Amino acid sequence: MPKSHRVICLAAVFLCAGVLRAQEGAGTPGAQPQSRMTTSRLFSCELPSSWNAFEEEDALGAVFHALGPDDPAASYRTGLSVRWVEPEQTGYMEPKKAVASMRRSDRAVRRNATPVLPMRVAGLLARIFEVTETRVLPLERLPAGEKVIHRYVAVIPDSAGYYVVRLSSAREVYLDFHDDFRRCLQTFQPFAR
Amino acid sequence: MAAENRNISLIPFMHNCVVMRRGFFICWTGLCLGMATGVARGQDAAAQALYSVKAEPLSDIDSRLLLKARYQVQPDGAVLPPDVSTPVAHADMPYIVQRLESSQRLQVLVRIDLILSKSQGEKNLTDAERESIRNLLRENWPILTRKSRKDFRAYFSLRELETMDQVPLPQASLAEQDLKDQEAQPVPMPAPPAPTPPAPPTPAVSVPPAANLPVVIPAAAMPQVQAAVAPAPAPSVAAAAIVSTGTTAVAASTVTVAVPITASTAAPAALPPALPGLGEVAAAEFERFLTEAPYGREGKAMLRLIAQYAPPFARRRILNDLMTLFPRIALDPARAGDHSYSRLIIGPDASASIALTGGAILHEQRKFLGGSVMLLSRSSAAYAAAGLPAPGLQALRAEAAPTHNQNGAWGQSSVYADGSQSVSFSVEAEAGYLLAELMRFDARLRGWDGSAYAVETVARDAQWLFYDALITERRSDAFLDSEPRDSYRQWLDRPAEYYDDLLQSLTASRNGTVDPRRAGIAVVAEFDRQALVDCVKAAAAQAFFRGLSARQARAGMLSDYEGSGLYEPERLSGARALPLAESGSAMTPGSCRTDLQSELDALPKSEAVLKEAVTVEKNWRRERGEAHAEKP
Repeated sequence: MPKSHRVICLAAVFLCAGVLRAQEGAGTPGAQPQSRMTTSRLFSCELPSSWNAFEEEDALGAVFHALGPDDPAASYRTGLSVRWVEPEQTGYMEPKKAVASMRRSDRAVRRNATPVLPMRVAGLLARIFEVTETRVLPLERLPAGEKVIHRYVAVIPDSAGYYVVRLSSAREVYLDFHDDFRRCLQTFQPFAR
Repeated sequence: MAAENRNISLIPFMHNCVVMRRGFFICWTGLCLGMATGVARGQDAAAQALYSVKAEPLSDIDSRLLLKARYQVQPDGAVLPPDVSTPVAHADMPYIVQRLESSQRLQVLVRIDLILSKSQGEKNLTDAERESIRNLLRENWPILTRKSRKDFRAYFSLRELETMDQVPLPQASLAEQDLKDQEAQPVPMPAPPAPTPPAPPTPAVSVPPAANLPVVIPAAAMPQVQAAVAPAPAPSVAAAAIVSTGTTAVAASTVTVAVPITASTAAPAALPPALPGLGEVAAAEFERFLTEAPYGREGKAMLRLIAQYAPPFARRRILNDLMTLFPRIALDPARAGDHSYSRLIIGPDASASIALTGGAILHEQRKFLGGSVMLLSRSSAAYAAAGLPAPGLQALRAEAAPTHNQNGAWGQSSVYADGSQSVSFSVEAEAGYLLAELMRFDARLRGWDGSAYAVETVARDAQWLFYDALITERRSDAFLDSEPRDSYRQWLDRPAEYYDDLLQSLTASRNGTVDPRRAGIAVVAEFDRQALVDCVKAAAAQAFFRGLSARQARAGMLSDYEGSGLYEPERLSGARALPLAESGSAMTPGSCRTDLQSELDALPKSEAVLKEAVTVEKNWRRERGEAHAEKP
């Protein structure tokens, strides 16, 4: 093989390896951050670029959802939701009461919560905690088994109400999304309401 | 014609052999093979010969069934299928007769079941009821199987039986493979100019299209239970007997049997050109309908509950649909597949069929520190779909007897010696799932199924509001087993988490109801508009995504089976190596434009119905004072 061809081949191999490596990393938990600023009517924060985001209105008000990868058992997709809660909405609770309610344990689903930690988010004093509970998954499909769902929760009080940011995933993979949750909070920008 | 062409094609071959004089032995071998093929083709051609009732007369009952199915006998004895100008081939006739007989058998069993359902019990039949059953049986005795004849002997005297049994039994079942292709093939839309895979080579011998046309028995001529979904296993007499005696429990067995809760003899539930109305249905009116409705006792009990406790927005839709279309409702774990509670099946003729599982198998894994519970299907078909045999649990064996019964977190269950349990869901719990399926059917029927997530949200809202009304009335949620109870309580107490979990479970590959790339209505619209720009690319992307999801789903399912400890590692490795079954509803480059456009058209309706349900739930929470609702 001529020397020039060898050089071209070698360059092509390196190039392919780079592309493959980049593809391998995309969408897998724990991969190098390839995040983008996600903007909604409620807020903006940095999320993995492969996640699918949308905003809708449900019975509780406006909510932003971002869907990440499946868990290894393909029965629960990792996802992040952000809700804005204000006094005019039905069922409004004070942030403190809301935190207590969300941390309340429940024996039926083996629900437990970690202690509350303070964290500065966009200049506001957020309360952070984690919750685990057991559910039968996959939803309405067989075979189904008891699986633990893990939630990172942040309650971020603002002037008129508060945000609830929640990242839920299967417990097997929850550590893989810790950085994503932190990054979202560190880059979180509430919009004036 | 095919045989002639084949023989003509042999001539140049022989010529080459003689002229070239090389490979003499090979030539002779080829010649023999060619002639053998020609003979086989000749036999095929003979098989394609037309059937003539003059040459081979049919029995009285078979002739009657053919006429009933709108077949026409020509003066020369040829038989014309309805709406088809090609007479029935000789080889096809046994299959047609078998199918018609099978439908008729099913219809007879269903009619008997209806009579028994309306009666005070089989032991307390009135003379008129007994005589109706006797007439039905007498008329159809020639097509009843040995087992059916044995089961219904009690209705006749010995002398009558002696005469009736002189009629020979119907012939044994023919191979079903030849009947598989009888559904009309979808006509692909003209594809846009784009790179497409190369067309398959044109066969050397072209056959006129008419010769390949399958004989299609029109759905209207078939009894509903048969026409609704063709591959459904016909219920055995034993199964019909279970319904007739009012026993609701299904015996756990690896061979599952469809137990029709619907016992309709009415026309199939094909979508009519005019949609059912949306007016209020009075309770008395629905009760009158139920009295005459083609549903069994358990089906009627569920429908009564739905009529009484369903929220108004769902009730209006469901009752009107039911009273117009009679969707089939069956206790049929085999057709429910891997669904835990129920499954809506829309047939190729747009008929609706709802299969309920009736229960599940509970397998408890005891570990050093605690244990975990696994729910398994009652149907061997669910395991076969995963490439595995049914596990050797006693609860799955028909011959095993339970040691005792218990009422636990999963409701009533029979416990077996090996610890496995056969759980039976309560009628109330199943009524909730039936309600949700009927809402999905309504979405399909009225075209608000553009957003799968919207449909699921609305169907489940209706289900939880139904349970809530029932629980308020009964002051107890004990009729719910663990899964719906946990979901209901979460919806009640932690609605924000409920909505997160719902979305994240529905978009997981194992459930696969919602495509995670387009869950919200606005996203679906945007996605479809972009996909319409390049349909072929969109179809390819969708095929890739579905393939990936199917692989993930199977890996997840097999990993669950592995965790259950019920299978040997070699067995699981074998299942992993099996090729994935093709999904039937994938978007193709030919149909994507139509599919996407119809989805786009359905989105405004989806949005309107979702908004209605959301408003109902908001008002309900407000009225309830949000005593239980935790807002975030």
